[in-house]
Amino acid sequence: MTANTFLTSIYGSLGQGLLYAPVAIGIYLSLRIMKKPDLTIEGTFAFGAVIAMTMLHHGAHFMTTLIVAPIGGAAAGLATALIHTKLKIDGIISGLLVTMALFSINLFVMGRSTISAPLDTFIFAPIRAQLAASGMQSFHALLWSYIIVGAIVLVVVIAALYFLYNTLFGLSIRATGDNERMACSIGINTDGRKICSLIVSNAITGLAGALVAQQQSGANVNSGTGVLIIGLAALVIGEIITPKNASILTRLLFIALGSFIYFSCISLVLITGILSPDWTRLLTALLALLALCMPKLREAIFKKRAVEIK
Amino acid sequence: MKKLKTLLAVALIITVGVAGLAGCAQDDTYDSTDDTYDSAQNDTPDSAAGTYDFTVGILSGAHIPAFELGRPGFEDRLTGLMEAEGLRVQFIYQNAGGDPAMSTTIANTFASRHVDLIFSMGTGASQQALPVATNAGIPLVYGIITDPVGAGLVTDVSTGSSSALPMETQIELLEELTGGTLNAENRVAFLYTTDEDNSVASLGRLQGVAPADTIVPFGIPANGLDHLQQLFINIAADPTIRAIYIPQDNQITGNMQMVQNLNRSQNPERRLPVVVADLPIVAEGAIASLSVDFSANGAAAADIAFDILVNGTWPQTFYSPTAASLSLYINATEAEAIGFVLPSAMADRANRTF
Repeated sequence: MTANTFLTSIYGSLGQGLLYAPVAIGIYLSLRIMKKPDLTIEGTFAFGAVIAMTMLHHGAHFMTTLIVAPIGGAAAGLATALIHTKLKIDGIISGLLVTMALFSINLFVMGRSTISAPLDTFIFAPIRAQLAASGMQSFHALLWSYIIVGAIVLVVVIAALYFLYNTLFGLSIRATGDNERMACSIGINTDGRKICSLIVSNAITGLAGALVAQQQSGANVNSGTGVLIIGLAALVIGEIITPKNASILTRLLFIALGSFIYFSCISLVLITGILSPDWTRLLTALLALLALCMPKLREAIFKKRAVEIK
Repeated sequence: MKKLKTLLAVALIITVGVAGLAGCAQDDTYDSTDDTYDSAQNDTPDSAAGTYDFTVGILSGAHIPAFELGRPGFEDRLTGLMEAEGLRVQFIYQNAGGDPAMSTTIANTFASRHVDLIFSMGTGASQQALPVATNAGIPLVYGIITDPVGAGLVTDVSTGSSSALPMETQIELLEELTGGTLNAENRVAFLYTTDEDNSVASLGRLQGVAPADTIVPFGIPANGLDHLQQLFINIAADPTIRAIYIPQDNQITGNMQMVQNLNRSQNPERRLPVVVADLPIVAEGAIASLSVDFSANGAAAADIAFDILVNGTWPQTFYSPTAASLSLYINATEAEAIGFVLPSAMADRANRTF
């Protein structure tokens, strides 16, 4: 492994990390802020990917896909939220139902099982052409176009969320997640807040789907499979390095960093060839597990130290 | 609560009842299908198909280009052969869309519609159709399957055409493209999905005929497209790799544009010729393919089906493609895009140039 390969790999992980970060943020919004796991994520991600690719296939401009894909995601989130709050179905089941329904809807939207569009219609194409024209190595230009687009979209998403979750309305969403009964008792419409939370998280996931589909140059009905665990791993890695008592802005930034670290780990495994790619899913699960039990480990270590000091 | 229990009980009784009745009904049709198979030429069992001499159910395993080519190949040949004998055949086409449960359901539908023969495309779909065909006594003819013996598909009621490539031809093609024999300095990256049976089998067969350690496997897991970018970084970093070979691997051939994008984006000296095992995929960003013409593969299955239905003879063995039956497709546009010069001999003898 040469230094150049290693560097290229890091650029690659950075780009993928930034493009997948919105998924981790979407999971954060539902799992951590609303304290409700949302399985719609996989369906929504594929839905966003399929919408974007179908639009590009039929000649739409890439900027319009960045608007329509989140709307599609939001609609899926709304469906889950309505099933959950109005029909009183368990959150996990509602998510599964919507994911299953989206499978058929995706096939209907595409009109076939896979779809792609010309490369120069993708959001990355103009930036990549610009970078290549300025004399950058062509593979690096490709990877940097992912990084630049990913960073811009992420900044917009994080800024919007920071703004939303610091308004009175946003605070009431956080209150609903923290203590639903208390929130209800002070007159917050908790069902409404849950619906909004799911709409926002799924809209962001739909957006990520649209971007990743363009990075992968195509979409199919299985585009969303495995995304949930990738997002979860990125989220927990990010949380473990987040300083205590951090603001929501810092938390979101660290989640994006977690996503980068996750993809770097996978890249390192693939580049050194120490493990067959078959094992990368197990590795992902172990990384997530390690990050999840880190607070307990930390507690145990600190307690021991405290005893020693005594 | 009590109401709910009653409701559940009623629902359960209805379900069991309906299932039981359906079971009986199916048993009946199986018997009659047996009868009609013996006297197939005298009358057709399906009243809706009164004017046809034969009804053939076509089960496609998934929406993939290979199957979409195999189907007209089969239908056209069989219709032609039948017409020459003054017979008429009708086709019922169903696609399982990659869902194993759906394959079984479709096969059952065929049995209950008294088809005279089932033509199935794809290993999974054929395996799922086999028990139904066996129980109903309907002959099963399959097409576009890499390894019928390994998949347990050579039985008393099933036979068909295999699409297994003679691997020596693939090595010859790769050597012609890279301009020299495969050795430690001239190696090939084998890009595949590690848990797709067809791909793993192809890897073993290709490595079996190639010089040792010249076929380097680069695998991604199922739904592992996020790994593909890193693999291309690795391929670019190994200067002994001079070409990329992609087997009949649905995940990768279904995302050829990503492969094309990553390959075209490499630095000029590391843009490699991509060889695929599926002819239709050449147009989507590969350089060349020397492979089975799926339409001809479907036609070969139609010959077998005709023998079974009309002549009443069962073939000695399933059909296997030979080196002479393969077609060569090349993509001059892609070659130009990556700055690769195709050998002129290859351009001259190509069956199709994109």
